[in-house]
Amino acid sequence: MMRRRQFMAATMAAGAAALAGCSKSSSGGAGNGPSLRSDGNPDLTWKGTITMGAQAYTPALPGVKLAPGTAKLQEFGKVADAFTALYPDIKIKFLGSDYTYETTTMKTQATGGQLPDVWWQQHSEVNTSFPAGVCTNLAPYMEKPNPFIKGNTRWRDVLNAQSYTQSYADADTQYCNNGDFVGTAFFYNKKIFASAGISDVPKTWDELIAVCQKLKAAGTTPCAIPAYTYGFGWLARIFLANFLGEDTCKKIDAYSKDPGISTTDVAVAYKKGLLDPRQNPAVLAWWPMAKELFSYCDPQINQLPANPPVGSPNPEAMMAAGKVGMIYDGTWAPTAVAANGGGIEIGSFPWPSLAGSNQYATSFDTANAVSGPNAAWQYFISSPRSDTSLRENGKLDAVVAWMQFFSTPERNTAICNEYGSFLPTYSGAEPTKDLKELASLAAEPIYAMNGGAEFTTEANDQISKLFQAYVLGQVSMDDVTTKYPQIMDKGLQDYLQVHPIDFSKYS
Amino acid sequence: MAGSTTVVATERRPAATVRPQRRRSVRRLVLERLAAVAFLLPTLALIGVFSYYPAVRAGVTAFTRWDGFNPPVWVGVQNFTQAFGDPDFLRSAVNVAIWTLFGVPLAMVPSFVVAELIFRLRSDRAQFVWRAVFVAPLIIPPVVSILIWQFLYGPNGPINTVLHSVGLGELARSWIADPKFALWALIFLGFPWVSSFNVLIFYSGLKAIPREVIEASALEGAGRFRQLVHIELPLIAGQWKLLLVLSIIGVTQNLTVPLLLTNGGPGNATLTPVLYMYQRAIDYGQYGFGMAVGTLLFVVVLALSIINMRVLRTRS
Repeated sequence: MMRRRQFMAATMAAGAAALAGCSKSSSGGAGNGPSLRSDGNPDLTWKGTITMGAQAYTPALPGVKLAPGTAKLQEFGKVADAFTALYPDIKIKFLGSDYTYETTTMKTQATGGQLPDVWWQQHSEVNTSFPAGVCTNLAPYMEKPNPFIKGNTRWRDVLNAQSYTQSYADADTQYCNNGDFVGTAFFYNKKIFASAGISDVPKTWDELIAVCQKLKAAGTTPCAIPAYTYGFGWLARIFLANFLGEDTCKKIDAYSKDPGISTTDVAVAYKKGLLDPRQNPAVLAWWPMAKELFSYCDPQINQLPANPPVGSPNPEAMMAAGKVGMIYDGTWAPTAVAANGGGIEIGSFPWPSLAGSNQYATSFDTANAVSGPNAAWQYFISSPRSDTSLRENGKLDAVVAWMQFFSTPERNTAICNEYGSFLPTYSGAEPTKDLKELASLAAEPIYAMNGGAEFTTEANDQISKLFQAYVLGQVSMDDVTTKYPQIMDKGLQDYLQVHPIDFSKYS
Repeated sequence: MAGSTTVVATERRPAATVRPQRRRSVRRLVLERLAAVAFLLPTLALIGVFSYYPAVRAGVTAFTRWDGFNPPVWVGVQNFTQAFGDPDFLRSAVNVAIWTLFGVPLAMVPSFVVAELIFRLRSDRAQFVWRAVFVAPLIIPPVVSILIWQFLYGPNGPINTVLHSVGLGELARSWIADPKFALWALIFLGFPWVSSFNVLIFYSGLKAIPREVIEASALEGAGRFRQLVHIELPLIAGQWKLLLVLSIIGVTQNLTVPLLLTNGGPGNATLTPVLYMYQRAIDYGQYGFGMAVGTLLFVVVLALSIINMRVLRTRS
């Protein structure tokens, strides 16, 4: 038995040593970076092609395949041309629509060292679902000047401070270059509202429920929100911040030195009991209210699993078909509804005030908690382990320089505004006229937290499942009260294994 | 006596002649064996590399915490205790038990009935035609079949349309999105549950029964039913046993159907151990834990197969 155990341990040790050898060579860091040329730009010695997955901002260039109906964007292509003009030996190759950014595919590519050099992904996915070491830590680079921004002394100062904090894995680990913002709101069918006798959009929770009742009485399904995919995540951010109140949110925000609530802040708050329902009943007090709202939502949408199968009903299609009075969705919704046909007239209103709706409800406006830096400008650089081409001498410097080159306020403005659905968030960037209102949301403090679901993908999935089961009436509040902390405890434990926190540092 | 001695004397060959012949036959035997080994070696090597090595590697990695990218960390039996302590895993085990209980008979009985009906046809040509009809679906990719069923089970699918048209509209629902019906919808997917492969296996078993045995039983006055019960069923017990083992393995390791149709939902209504393993490994990056669940699955399937072999051991 001992021999067998020793053999297995030795096998694992050998495997670990082999892999550790890889990881050692891959520990990318800012180092001193390349020296500067006489024109003030980095002196790049590497020659070759940088691959870039720009997601929604992918330019329409020869050889770049675009999905049917995709806008033919130009701006990122112009920026790439400008970079190549500066460095003639370096070309930028954009990935087309055949690159899907599917996380499993990307993780497999990472294991094989085949990821593109720069790519898009949701920062929450990278921080919780991707193994540590897949991306280059940008934090050391962001502490230094971006040579392509005149007078810049620290690159991260150009990024929206809240977006920066919300995107990072921990205070010392920032994988994401986050430069845009998406909003959410209720979108409603004006004709259905009018025929149900609803002339004003709801401004309070009670009015929202009254609108639902009127729509139901008029024979229309009042609302559609996928309980699993958006339900918990979005509603938790609104309700939780509101029920905790502004002072508690500020206290949580203050745990880490950076503005905006990070996963580290949430971990500390959970550990201190502020987000633990065993110590703070406000944490789960909003679930019955959410259940009431979902009782007015389309039952088929309520029942959808994560990753609904192709052909499943979806809120935008239902709205386009005139089957539902309103949906709670992102700023992409009008485009998505239009894409489903129907030509209906759509109005929108923000999440209503929760004041007075519950003993824990406050007047703190948290409508912007769902909006946030979760859009298309979330760019990552692979590590030399996940992209073996970055082991070429000087390539990582060149890729970082490329990212710095396109990450200026002017280019952030041009690229985001050309697309038009998302707000550029770099300091000094100007949004389009249509998104001016959203710009004010982005400027306000955002206290967005999911109570611990952000610890790991597993925690997020399990909580979302529990939430769905609760709103469908499959589990009771007693079950929730028991299971919720179990899921969060495990999530925190798993998170701390990757991102250790010295809780004694936080008073 | 003398004659017999003579015979023996003439049959006995000189030792010098026998030895080279024996040597030659031994050499031939060795060469034949070597040739056999040489022919088998590439296959064995491929099976070893692509089947046994991953299985052994999974067995070892089951005792580690591994994210698929960074070096694994030895955690002993923690993954196994964690699995048994997870209500989701236990729920998935209950789900697969229900699926096995109902799914395995559904996979076997209708296929046997069809094989038996084809076997009973008097015309060889008719047998050929019907065999082809039932085997043809084998070429349809399973994913296509699953997507067809997704449409059939959908809220606007033909099942609900029929229910509405016969005045039973209140029974209409999204069959795979309703937690009370989702697992049953998956179990009963594939109506009329005639598996081409199983039909072929049963049919070949029936065809292997000597015609004389059936004719003799007919002469003795045995009717169709008695022939079925007393002759055909016992003589194709081997096929039943084989298909039982394969069906249990098939149901236990069926990932595609729940993954594509429900992803284990709603809630955990259709979660199965193999999907649980997949989600933990692929979605959550817990490859060590996933491999522990895979190892448990292997042990359970192996145990079921051994029990099955022992219980249904045929006299032959």
